[in-house]
Amino acid sequence: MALGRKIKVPRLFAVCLSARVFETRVLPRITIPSDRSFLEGLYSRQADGSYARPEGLEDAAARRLRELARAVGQNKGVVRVGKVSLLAVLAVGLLVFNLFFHDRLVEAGLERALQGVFSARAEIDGLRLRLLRGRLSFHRLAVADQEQPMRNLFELGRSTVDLQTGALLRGRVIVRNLSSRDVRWGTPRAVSGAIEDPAAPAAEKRDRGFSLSLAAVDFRALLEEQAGNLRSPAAAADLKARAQQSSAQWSGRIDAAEQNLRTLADQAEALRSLEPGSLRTAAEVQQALARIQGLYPTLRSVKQQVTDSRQGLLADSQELARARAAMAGLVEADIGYLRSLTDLSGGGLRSLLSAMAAPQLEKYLGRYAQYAGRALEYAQRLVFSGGDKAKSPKRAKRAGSLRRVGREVSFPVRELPRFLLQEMNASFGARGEAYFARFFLQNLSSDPSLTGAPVGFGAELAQEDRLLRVDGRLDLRGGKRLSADLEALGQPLDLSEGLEAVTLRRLKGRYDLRAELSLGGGGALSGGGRVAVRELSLEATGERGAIGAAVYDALSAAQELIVDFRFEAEASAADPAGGKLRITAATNLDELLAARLRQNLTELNAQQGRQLREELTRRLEADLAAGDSLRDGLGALLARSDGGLQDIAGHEKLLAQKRAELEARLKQLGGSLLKELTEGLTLP
Amino acid sequence: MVRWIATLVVAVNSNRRAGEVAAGIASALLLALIPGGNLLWRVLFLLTFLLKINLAAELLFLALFRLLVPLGDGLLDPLGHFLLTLPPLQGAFTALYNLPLMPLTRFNDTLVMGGLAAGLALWLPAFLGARALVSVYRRRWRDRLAGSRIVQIFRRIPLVSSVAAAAAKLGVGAAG
Repeated sequence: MALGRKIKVPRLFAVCLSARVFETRVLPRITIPSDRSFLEGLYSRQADGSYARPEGLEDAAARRLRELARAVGQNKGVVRVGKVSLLAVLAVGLLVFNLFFHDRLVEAGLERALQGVFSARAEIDGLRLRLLRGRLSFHRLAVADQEQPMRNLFELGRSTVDLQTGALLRGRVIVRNLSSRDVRWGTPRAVSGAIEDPAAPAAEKRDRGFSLSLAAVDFRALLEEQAGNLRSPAAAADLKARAQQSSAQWSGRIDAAEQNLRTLADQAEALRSLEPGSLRTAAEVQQALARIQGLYPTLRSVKQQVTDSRQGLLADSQELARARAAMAGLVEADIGYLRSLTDLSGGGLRSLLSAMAAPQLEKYLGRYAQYAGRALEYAQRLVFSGGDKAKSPKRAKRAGSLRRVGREVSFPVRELPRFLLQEMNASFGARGEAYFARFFLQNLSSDPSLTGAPVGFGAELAQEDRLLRVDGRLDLRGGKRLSADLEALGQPLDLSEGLEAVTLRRLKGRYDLRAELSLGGGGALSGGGRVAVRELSLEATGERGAIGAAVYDALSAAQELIVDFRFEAEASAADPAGGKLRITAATNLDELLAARLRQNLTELNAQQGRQLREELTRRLEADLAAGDSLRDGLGALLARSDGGLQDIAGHEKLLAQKRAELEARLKQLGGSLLKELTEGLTLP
Repeated sequence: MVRWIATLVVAVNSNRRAGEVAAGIASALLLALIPGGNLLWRVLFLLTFLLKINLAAELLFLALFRLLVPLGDGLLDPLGHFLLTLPPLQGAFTALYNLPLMPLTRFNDTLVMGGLAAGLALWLPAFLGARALVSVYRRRWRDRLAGSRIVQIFRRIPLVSSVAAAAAKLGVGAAG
């Protein structure tokens, strides 16, 4: 027997085992017959029913018992405890993550999603997501205004969101209900909410609402606005340009012709001093004649040049004179057109009160049209950002040679949009209290075609005796269409701008407004409504003309001023680019005012006519004066060309005279020569 | 692979429960009948790792059955189609398909459904049969083979000697 450590027998195979342990825990777990025989041979049953073995065992037996003990230990249970424990550790880890981290991740994800839709910072505080209950809650949510980064577009207080958990596991966010106890908008921010383009203006935003239609009595503004429709300013500018062009063209040519004429004159003067009697020979005379003959082409050329210039200059001058004469007619036509816009004899938009109301309505409704446009923009971004990820094409199955693929049996699936907010309610205060606000939103979806219903929205703000209510629908299925009804009751009115033309400093009162607004698929905006202003209080400026007095009297006497209006625009006026909006308005006081004004209408009309003419003439003065000056310059050029032609005639006459004299001298010389040659000859 | 074979040899020739080996073989049959690459197969496979099933038997027989199962696709496909289009089950299948993650199991594939049905039906018979075979082997052949001349010659084959060496490392003892 080798020296060494004795092999320890496992505790399972103690010297004495109870019958229960041996018969139920040991033997059933030994399946090899020889091992069973070994154990049954080693342990013998005692009188008390237990099993005992010899105390001292050989190493081989002890080693065998150790292996059998390991087999007995392994042959129990169905589950692998180690691996299940590992799984449990992972589950605990997930639970810990869920408790401590996943809320922060969801919060960050939601903030990013809101920033994507509103293009401004979004902050959420105290978010908790309970997936099993399908509930998300937060203490506060604020989204900054993209156009006013130091203000919040809206802010929600303590809110609860009920989600469909099953849809979440399919990657769809379906909000059954969102309720919030506190909703505010336009609240100030401590830090800027801009997330990109920091150069974007954060100060007072430009009112990019409607364009001005007209100001009835501000002639300067009227001419500015109607500049595109007037013909005389363009004609005056054109006349001046043509005169400049003509002057530049002809002065150059006249200068060139005069240069050539001077050269010709020098040569002609040289011939003037020639005495035919001083020429002794025929050759000399012929030489002189040749010189004269050589000047004729130059003379004809210069004459043609001057004649052509004169003719062109004359034609241009006459044309410019005709255009200048026509200016008077154009000015009259323009004055007539402008007066038609300011005619005080009728009602409608041409009346002063409607003209006063129009710009105010433009500002007020413009604000709501902007809100409508922005709501449409945000909803479209939601549809766009939801749609581009939802419909990724299914990966085609790889049916390679080793991959078994059967036939697919289809089952109906309820298609859900990527995001759906079924109902949202937010309120602040309660009805009857000093301040109450309520806001609701329904069926806001990233895929409106799946939702099958338009987005419904509304808001109600009540403060003391004032009420503002908006109800609308936004349908993004197919094209985009937004319609909204706006009601504002008991709102204070305090105007101090745009009243100068009617010599009012201030107009105060209370108004009730009812309007409907519609934004169509092509961006066309239209709508209409009625404003009723009561409890009017007026402050007049010091001076009051006939118009101011009539307006003051009409408004003071009226119980109520009612303005009915309609507006439309082809491109949405709420688009950032801005669009031209046409607004038509009529008031209940138009006729009254017109009647009051009709008494002084003739004088007023004449006065307006004079003012219009003065203003228009003042605008045309500069161009017309410049044009006239240039035309005078053309006249001077014409005179120069006439002088040139006279000079040319004089030179022609001189050349003819000298030629005649030379020819006579030649004849004379020829006769003398013949006499000399024939002297002393007798003819047969 | 050698290690798997050695582990199986050890398990069959030791006191490990015959049921573990049999469960491994039966599970291999079930997994082989269901086409892979879907959530159902992966969950079932993961489950076998958590239970006391002889993984060596499972993996070895899975490889073997996968070679043979395509021959049975002609029967599995119509079986799956029959089950998936059974009118009384349409409501259940539709509800199942609309549950989160269920479409990933691809249970609406005829081979998957046919393989699952056939695998579940054959699991118990396969288990019982394999367990009986292991018990018979242990009772009648194990001890006789351990010392036979044929086995001695067989052990000299290189692959077999590798298996024996690996088995020895795993502590065969009773395998001799």
